[in-house]
Amino acid sequence: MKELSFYYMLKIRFSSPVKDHRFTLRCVPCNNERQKMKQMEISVLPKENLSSSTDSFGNYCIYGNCKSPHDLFMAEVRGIAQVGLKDAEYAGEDYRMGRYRYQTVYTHPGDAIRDFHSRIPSLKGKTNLQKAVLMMETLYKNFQYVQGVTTIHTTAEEAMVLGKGVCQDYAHILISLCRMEGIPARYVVGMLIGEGASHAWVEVYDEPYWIALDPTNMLMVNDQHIKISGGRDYQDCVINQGIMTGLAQQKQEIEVLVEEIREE
Amino acid sequence: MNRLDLLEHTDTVNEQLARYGVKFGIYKNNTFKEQLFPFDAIPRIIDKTEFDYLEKGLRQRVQALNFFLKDIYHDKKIIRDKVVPEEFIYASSGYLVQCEGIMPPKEVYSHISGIDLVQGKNKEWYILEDNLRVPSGASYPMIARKICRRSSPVTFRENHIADNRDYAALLRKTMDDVKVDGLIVLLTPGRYNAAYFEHSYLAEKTGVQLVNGNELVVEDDHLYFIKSNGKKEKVGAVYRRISDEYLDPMNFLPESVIGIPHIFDVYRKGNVALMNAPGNGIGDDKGIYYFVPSMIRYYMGEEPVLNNAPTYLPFYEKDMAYVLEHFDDLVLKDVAEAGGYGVVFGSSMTKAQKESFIRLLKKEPRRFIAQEVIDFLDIDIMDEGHIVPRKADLRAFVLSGKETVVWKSGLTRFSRNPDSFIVNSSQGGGFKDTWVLSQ
Repeated sequence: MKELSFYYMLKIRFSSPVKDHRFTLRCVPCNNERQKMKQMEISVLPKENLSSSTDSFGNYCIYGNCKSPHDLFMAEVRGIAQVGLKDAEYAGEDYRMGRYRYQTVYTHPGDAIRDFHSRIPSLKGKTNLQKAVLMMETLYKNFQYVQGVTTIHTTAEEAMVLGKGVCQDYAHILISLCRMEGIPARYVVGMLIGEGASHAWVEVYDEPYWIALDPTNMLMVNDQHIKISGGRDYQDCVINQGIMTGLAQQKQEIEVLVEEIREE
Repeated sequence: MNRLDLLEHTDTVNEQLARYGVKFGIYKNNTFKEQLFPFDAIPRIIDKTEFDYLEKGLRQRVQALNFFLKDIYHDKKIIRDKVVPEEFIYASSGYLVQCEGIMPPKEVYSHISGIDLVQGKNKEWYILEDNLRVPSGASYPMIARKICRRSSPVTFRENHIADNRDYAALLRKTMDDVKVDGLIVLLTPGRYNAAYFEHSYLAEKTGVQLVNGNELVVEDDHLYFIKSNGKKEKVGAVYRRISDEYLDPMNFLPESVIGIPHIFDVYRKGNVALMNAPGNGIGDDKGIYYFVPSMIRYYMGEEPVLNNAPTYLPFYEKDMAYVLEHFDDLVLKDVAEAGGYGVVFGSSMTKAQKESFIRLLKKEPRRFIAQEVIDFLDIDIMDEGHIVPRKADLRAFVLSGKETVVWKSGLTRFSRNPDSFIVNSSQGGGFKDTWVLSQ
């Protein structure tokens, strides 16, 4: 178990004021068996008509409508998280996992992923977790971490064709491979010690638990990650969605800081 | 039975329908055309005993489908007990993950169900498909009946026909049964929608407010209707005539401009009833159709009263073998398509078409169902002064609020082309009144 202090900030500047800005934010870390928020402070600007709800994946959403003209939209979350409280999150029985077992637009395999899958060393007789770890290792060795070559719209197959990408791409490819094996797998967004932006990784179903793997760093998630949200793919975990009235360019800035709190 | 007087008034009735604006809009080659929905004055007549039987079967079917929808989005017992294979749920576009764990007010999913049936030459009725999303068509027989009564009162004096003018009252009661505190509105995508006539007609007859998406707004976890004077009134139920995907750009298709941002969040909190509930597409999926009889046995412990048309799922090896062997006798349907599209008859394909279809079928077996071609019982229509037989179906309307009731009427659609089996109004068919005899 570790205690991590965290700070998440999202800032959007509009070149000219916008109004009737409807938004949904998924940027608040969740409480589960693995992690507890000891302290947390959330602020959203402009502070107008704020509500919250929990979506069908259990993600905490802040939603609202800034009616008055504004050229700055900002969300900040800071607090202290206890992480690594347990090795795994309880998931439930296999028959309830169907929604994570089928490919989505982002994870649907094409020739490149199918070919890659066929070259993975024998998976026979292994548990879900053993299979996932083996696939993660193979992926890590054959995929290059390069920023700027993929976008948020890049699918697992497209990234596999390129052979390079970022955490979102690693996660989508590993999920695609797991699902090809019939293993339920989900996409996770969160924060990681030492990373200046949000991070993405994977949770694999190993009955009756979700086990978290970070394919970008080839490690089992233990006490360096803070989970924010989970879903079938990137689309279910979009941090900020917005619709507004106005003609403006927008510039988005994200800042993340996670540090371990050491006993003095 | 005296129906002669009514037939003499066919032209008057059609003129009146045109004046009322009873139209059906269709999109062809990307342009929107409104066309009259031709009315045929010869009614379809269903006697009391027969309708009692249909009523029993339809209620049973819709109740089972409601249990199914609730189960799929909550406990998933039917998956656990392997009555329905899970790939038929999760690989279907009708399943909406956003609806997981949300309980609609009064636990009703399919408030208005349009169940399509056909009658075979053997007089047996078969269910062709279930429509649990936004089934349309009730307004056509409502208004046709009204005009017929006016044009030929004698017909309705001399025959014992169940009065179908209660549809609006039944619908209103369904709305009142499930609504949360507040106003009831009918949400239309606007006047360029195929069923706009129906939207305005039903709103008027049920006495609810007809609204566009831009007249509704979400604030503080509630939905409000913005009146023309700028004042807001809380909304408790939305009879929405727009599809799930367009309902809320923050929860479904982000590009939707006819939806209401965050309406789904209000619904999730139980602060508004949406009629029909989002996510119902998994209940009327053509692949799921195959399992409805098992669903009735599973949830209700009863034998189905009404049968499906004999259906095969190429997903199962045994069924695939049957389909390949009897290809020419079957009609094949793409489970993702609706409105008479994606339907092909094995016998009408050329050799090359057949080969390429079979390749596709083997590659994506889950995508198709195959059905025996039912030998329809033809019904009479008037064609330029002559009585001719044509194929027809019946859309029955089943309303579920506190109770499940079947409307004693329905929409009988017929194909104007003597060789066609496809009766959908979007494919240019016509309609008739459906008389249910009261004794």
